[in-house]
Order: sequence, then structure tokens, then C-alpha cells
Amino acid sequence: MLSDTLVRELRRLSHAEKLSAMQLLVSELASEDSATLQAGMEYPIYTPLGNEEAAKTLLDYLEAQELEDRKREQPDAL
Amino acid sequence: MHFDYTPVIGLPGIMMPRMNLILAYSSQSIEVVGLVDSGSTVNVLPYSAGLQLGAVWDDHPVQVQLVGNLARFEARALRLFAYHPDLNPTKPVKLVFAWTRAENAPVIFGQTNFFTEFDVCFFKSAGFFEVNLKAAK
Repeated sequence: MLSDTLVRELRRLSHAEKLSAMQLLVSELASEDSATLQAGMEYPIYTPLGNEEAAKTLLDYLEAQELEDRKREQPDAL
Repeated sequence: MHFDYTPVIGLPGIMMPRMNLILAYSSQSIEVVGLVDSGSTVNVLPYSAGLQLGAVWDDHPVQVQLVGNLARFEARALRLFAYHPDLNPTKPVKLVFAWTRAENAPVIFGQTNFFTEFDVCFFKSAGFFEVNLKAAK
């Protein structure tokens, strides 16, 4: 039950402040709800976990691109 | 810089750390919202996002083998420039993505190399996370 004081304070807020207060409450409620998972709901996981080979390939690629950039910028230096 | 956890459409009560970044390739750029995923080994870019940037699949021959539910889709290495207007507006960073053929994959900012370029702290209980450009060496 909201206290009269709180209701009075809320009514005094500007339009923008009321919207902010509402967003805050919606976030609070959503984060409280997240404590439970619902039966029958699908929770997708896309995370490529343990994909070190791919990481190595990407880092090698990035390094090769950097080298090419440097060659283009300073063709005589390399 | 603080970012709020955001709700996931269709999954009531689930809040995830997602942030927007502008990705640029050649002369084109797009704004994407990606999952800041410390458990992901690599950055992931869905096929359509690469096309919007003007990237041509066959011009990027370096193949990347992903795992999990992205394993069945072919992926290629793609280097992009990334910046956030309030975070690094004048200092774009080079992010390398596994550009997957999967259309429904989310944009993922993972350990290679988003977490190499940005320092990230999660404060899930408070509903926000913090991202900053890595400190200059």
C-alpha cells in the first residue's frame, strides 16, 4: 500500500519525472521477475563458448590486415 | 560509460547487457545493438548486417568455424571500425567479427576482440554495466 506522502510526492513530479519513475519501476519489476525461469519457455544461447580456434583465426586475420594497412601507408618502410 | 540492462522481447523478466555501436566498413556504416557477452570467444555479426555494410561474402575468404548453434553456418572473418558517439566518437576501434551466414544470430561482442578494446564491468544487481575504451598503454 502506498503511503499518502509517497502519492503526494509522485503527483508533484513533472511529466518527464513521472515517466522516469515509471521506467525505473518497470526495470525493478523485470529484474525481480528474472529470479525465476518459466517452464516451457525457450531461452536461446548463441554464445560461441570454447571457440579458441576461431579466435586465433580472427586474430591472425586482423594482424594480416594491419600489415597490409602499414604496407599501403608506408610502402618503402617494409 | 553506463548502459542499462534491457529486457528481451518475448522473454518476460529477462534482462541482458546490450549496447549500441556504430559499425563502419569501407564508406558505409550502420548502427547495431549487440550483446556484450563475456562468455563468447569471438565477436559475431549476422549475415544481413554485413550486407548492409556493403561487404561482399566472396571477398572475405578467411573461414571461421563457430561452435554451438552457430556451428552449422559458414562464417568468414570481417574487420570493421566501431565507435559509440558518447564513448569513442573520434577514436574508432578495429573489431574483427565472425561474419556468419546465420540470419537470426544476434550481434555478439565477445572476448576476441571487443573485450580487448574495451574495459567492461557488469553490475547486474543494479541493472547496469559499464564500458570504457581501454586505457592507453
